[in-house]
Amino acid sequence: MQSIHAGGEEVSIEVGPPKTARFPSFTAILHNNMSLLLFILAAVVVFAAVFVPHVFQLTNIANVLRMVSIVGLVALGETLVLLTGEIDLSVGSIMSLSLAMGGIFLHWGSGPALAVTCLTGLLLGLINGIAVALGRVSSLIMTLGTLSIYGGLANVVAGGQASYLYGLDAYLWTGKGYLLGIPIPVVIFITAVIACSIMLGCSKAGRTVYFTGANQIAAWYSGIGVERVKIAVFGCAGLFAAMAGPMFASQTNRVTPIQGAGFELSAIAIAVLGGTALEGARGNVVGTLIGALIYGLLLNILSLSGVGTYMEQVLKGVMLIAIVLAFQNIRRR
Amino acid sequence: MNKRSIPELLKQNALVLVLLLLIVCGTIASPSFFTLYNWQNILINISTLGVLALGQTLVMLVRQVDLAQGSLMAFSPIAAISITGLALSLSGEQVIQGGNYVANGMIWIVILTVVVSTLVGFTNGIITVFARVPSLIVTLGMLYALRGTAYILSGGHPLYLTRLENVKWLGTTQVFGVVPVCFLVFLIIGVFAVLVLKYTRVGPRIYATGNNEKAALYSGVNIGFWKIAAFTFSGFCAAVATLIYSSRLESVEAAQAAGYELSSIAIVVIGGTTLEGGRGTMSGTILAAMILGIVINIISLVGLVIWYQTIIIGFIIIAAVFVYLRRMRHRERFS
Repeated sequence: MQSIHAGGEEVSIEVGPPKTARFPSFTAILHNNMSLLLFILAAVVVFAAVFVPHVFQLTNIANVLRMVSIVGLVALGETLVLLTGEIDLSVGSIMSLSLAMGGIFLHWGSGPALAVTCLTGLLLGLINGIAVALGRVSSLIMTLGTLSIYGGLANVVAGGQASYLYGLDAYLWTGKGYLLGIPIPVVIFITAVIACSIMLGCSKAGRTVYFTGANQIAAWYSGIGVERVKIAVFGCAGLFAAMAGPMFASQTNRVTPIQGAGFELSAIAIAVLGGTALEGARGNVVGTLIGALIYGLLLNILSLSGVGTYMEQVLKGVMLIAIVLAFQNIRRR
Repeated sequence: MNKRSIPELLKQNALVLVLLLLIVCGTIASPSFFTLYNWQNILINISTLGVLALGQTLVMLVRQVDLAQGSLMAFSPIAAISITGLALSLSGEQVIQGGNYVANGMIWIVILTVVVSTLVGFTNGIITVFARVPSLIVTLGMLYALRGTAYILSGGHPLYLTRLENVKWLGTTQVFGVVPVCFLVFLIIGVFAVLVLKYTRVGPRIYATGNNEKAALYSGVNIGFWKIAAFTFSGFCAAVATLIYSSRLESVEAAQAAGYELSSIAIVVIGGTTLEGGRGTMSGTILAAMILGIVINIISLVGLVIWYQTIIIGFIIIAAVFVYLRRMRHRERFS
């Protein structure tokens, strides 16, 4: 709990992960989003073990983790944006456009292509951030606009055509490679989660993110560069979306200009599943990690048990509403 | 009595000016712009998205957002066909014949489409209000769930509508051989909404709910009711839009109307309704629908690929937001 003196009366704002009591009671455990999430994850794992044991074959686990990491990385950026009380609908289009920009440099080799991809993503994210922070436009509308613009530009840049990734071993390695037996996307995702977790939990910069989301006027009065924080989180969201791009594209050996379509919705769904509130300042990246795992495992269970892709969509939607509903009700008690 | 200077008058009718300007641009850009056939096309294209945008306007006026519209446009007719199929199969009639031809019970399908769609809108409102889940999440979840259900119910293949004699007029007939019926439907719903918001007690309550929820609650406005009403209206509008859409295409598909929710939000934003709620008008939305329709028409007449269309629409959304924002601040500073 942090308290701020505003207008003579003491206003307390709860920021960051709540401090746990030494002997948490059952209700306290229930109140803690993280334990609820872990419980859901455990339930999903047990369910899988009983009904669909194929899930736990090593190749399948590697596949699930790879996809979880790719979507999760995008969701990680989205989480940062949501923590400041904003929203980014354009992450999918950012992925498409930065892949397309990288695609131009494919004949120079993997290195330049990857660098251009990441830089483009960062730049596009910063453009969102600058417009939202300095122009004070609602981020929902601004990123709705850039969703359209970036998506269109991706097609224009790529000429509407896919580029195939022949002989680009380093590029393909980002999606298919292994480091010490662990798939590269997982390594990158876990590294990003740890970095963001340390940044949010232990650094001054992380506190400013939560402060901005909790009450941006109060944050501004206490000397936090609200604009800078917002630009930074949008930049991060763009960068993460672009980083996920090559990993995703190399799964199918090609870069298409619509590669990222729909990622924004999955990213928001995962972030929200992980306990991040749309109002800002509530949630953390470890929640997003667990959210991504639940999401990926559930989808995998569904497809392995032969329910079909259509049913997956239905359950994805129902799950999203149900879990947020559960969070809301627990919080209110 | 407030005196209105000319710049003020221009500002208040900016959307009309933009519309006129676009018509001039279109006439210069292409000789086929100012032909009857082209205008009928524009009007037909406006009506589907326009009707959707009318529903979205009401939702955004109470400071919510409805992302489920596009999926609802696919779900409601398919669900209606399934329900009719079930009901008529009891009396031994087959609705779907030859795999995917819808041959019977058209009138029931139309009625059920409206009922189902309105009910889903109502449900969105109920969940938003009583479970206090943000409408962005509720309708995002619905976007997935409805689309998935539509795929399951239709089996993924298009359903061709036959024996449309009684309902085909909605999408294809022209009144006096000039004005498409669907455009008139859009105008009637639009004008009705404008009048209701302006001259009945509904208007102030809607605006109050969106403007300051707490203040509205304390002054005795039933904010929950008006939010649910807005979502229900949005569901109804989705039904009308999908009826127009499918009576023109003579088929229903689970993938149809994907992304329409974003276009409808775009129209609402161009029309001057802000997401902060409590600001904006229905007439703005009607004009904005025409503006967007004409822009899209000019883009395709000039021969630009559809990609440029999405880019230009994106820029228009952002430009509109910036213009309205500046004007809002200006007004606040000088009021």
